[in-house]
Amino acid sequence: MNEAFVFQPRALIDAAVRAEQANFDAVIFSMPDPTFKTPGDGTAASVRFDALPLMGAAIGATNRIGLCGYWPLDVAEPFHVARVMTSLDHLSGGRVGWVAGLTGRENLLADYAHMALLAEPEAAHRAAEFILVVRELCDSWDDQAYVADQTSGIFVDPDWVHPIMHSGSYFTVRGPLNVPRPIQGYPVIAFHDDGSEALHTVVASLVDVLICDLQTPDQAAQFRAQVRSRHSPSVRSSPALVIKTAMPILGRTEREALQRADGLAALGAGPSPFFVGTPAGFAAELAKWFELGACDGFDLRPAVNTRDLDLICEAVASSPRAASCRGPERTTTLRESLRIARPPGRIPEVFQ
Amino acid sequence: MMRKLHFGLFIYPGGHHLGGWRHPSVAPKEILGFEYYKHAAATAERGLFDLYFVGDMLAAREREGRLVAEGALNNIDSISIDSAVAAATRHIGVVATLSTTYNEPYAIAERFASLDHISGGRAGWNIVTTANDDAALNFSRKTHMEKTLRYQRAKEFVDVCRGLWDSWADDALVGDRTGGRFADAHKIRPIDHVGEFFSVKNPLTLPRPPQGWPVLVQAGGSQAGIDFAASVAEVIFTAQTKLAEASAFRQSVESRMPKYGRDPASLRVLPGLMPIIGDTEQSALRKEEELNELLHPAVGIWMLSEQLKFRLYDLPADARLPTTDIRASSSDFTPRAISLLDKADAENLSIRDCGRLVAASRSHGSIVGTPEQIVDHIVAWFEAGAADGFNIMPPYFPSELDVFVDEVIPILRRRGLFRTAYEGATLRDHLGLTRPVRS
Repeated sequence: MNEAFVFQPRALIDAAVRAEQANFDAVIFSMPDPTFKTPGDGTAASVRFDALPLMGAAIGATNRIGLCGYWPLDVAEPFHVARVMTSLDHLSGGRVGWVAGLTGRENLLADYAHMALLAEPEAAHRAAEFILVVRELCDSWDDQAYVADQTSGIFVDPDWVHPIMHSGSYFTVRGPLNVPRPIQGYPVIAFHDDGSEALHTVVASLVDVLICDLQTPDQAAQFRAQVRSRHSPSVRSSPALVIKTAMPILGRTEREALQRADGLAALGAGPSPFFVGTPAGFAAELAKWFELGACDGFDLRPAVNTRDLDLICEAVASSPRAASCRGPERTTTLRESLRIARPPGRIPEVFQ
Repeated sequence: MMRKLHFGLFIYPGGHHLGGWRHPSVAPKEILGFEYYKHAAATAERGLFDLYFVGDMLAAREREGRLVAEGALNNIDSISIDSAVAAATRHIGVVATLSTTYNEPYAIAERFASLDHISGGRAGWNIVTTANDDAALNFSRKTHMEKTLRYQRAKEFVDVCRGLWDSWADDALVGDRTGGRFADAHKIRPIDHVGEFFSVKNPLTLPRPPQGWPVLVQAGGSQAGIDFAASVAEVIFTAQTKLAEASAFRQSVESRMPKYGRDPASLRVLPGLMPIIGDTEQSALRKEEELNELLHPAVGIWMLSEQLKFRLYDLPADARLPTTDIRASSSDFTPRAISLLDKADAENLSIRDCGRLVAASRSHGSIVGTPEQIVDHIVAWFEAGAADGFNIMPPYFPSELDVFVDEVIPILRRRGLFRTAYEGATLRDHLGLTRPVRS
């Protein structure tokens, strides 16, 4: 479930609550939107929040749902990402996901013009190294390092904390992190794939989730098969989940949905819908993609937040998988609800 | 209207006394969870505090290349805590610490604008340039930026952020559904900044924050820091432990403000204060002694070595602090370090004693006594103009915060020195600071 487009900050948190009631795995804040226009050029129709305050604010309002945020890595530092995501993971009881991605050249030129810019193949390699450093930093505290023994006065056992001494092509990071290892080992690490071959070739093996927007079930099934065939069990225990971005326009009847779609199209600027129709029809379409092996799940984007979110929730509630796997009484980490293994941490030196 | 006190709650994992986390009432495994931070915020809000303050560190705390084992020193990220707390409270301001040396202004302006919007105008930014050299090694740099340059960068960083917060006029958001106009394009301008450190063109992607800008907070008492504070700070979090020093500090900031076109009346000074409170003076002193016993000597000596930038690990803990050697080792001591060396000389203190002094209240002021004695101290500083209030640093959480809220605050309120209800909605309202007009 994905939030954008409305300027009512608390409504974004309310949407996370609503999605939790409908047993969604996660809410994703501040995803990039290809139709987003810079305010001030005369056509701005949207705002963009920094994802981190929204993730933090959603912690207290929700109990089970995963909290994900888009944090592009081309202008970020791995130490910040590791530190903040680890902090949010502790605060939320292990519910955090980081959606990495690249902001794109145009934004960089405008807002970060003082920084060095990389051409695409290099940007992909930097992205891969960035994600590796984040993982190394999460592993810089072994799970048993956090002792907090009041009797001996030992808060941390330094034998279980290690500087990472990372020295690569793009980053030199000593570490260790200054927060204990995340509850989930690492936050769930997702990558927003904007369709660049260079990027997903380099990055797919390092992440838990790939979020992409392939147009047909055949294209998506081919892409997913490719991701799975390239998977190397030495880097991660299972191949990345492929999540398909989908914005439906829904109505109580086919006719109402079509009218809404026409109305929204007349307003201009929005992305073309994935589906137009009723919640039941939408649920069937999702099931079709899933059964064809085109994807492992969906990044659902309400076209108009409150209204479409309610109808989307209705569609998802009618899906048998949603009903079977996530009872409202269960409190789980995001990794558990996505069935992604918790990374074990550093291999003890004695076994290396 | 009579001048009123302002209070911040400075949250620190395990408490500000570095032995505090070992107190039997503390559950040290819970200090990473949301409930811990939420509970403290709810208590501070019950006490009608102005703000909730979280610090930040960008490197692990080490001694000779290994993590310091004996203290709860490695805290979690301030924006994460503050945004979670903001959603769980209704009135109290939330101040987060972010470095201008290791961040980018566009991202930080967006982050604080988001926090201010999501909290309904309760955000504050404690602007730091990062004091510990180790941080550089976590950010692909060989050395920490030199102090003068750091403050030049900080000044430009804040200028860019203010430009971004002002890029939307207050009435730029139209939200006209029928006319299809979301925002008035004529009221949103690119900032087109090109400076020594940053080039930033676009306006922000969010409407102007409810407070115009988040409240700008600063800490740090060096000459460069004072000048920076005079140019931008609306709240200063200080660490002077003596009234005369605190008054002199305040005067030195205020005297520089007109140079930057600022009115000294628009400044709030909140020294850090660790209260150790007992029903009687004796029981307060016993509580202090108990905490000092819980403080592992190694953590005190480590903190002392860090603060003096002088290695003390090989010397016997009972030896006198070698102040002559220490003074000869550097010409760049902080005001805190100098006052510590003077005290060590005057009182002939050992290394262990000095370690205890710096670690007990993390080098901030502390006061031990009955609620009435705590009140006398607060009022003396307030009436002398050395402070507008205090950033309260409980030695451990949550019980010592409860004691302050339940036993000290009511006395101040009876004397008419502290609010009896929140009177406004934003952090600026609480602090009596004006909302900046868009430039």
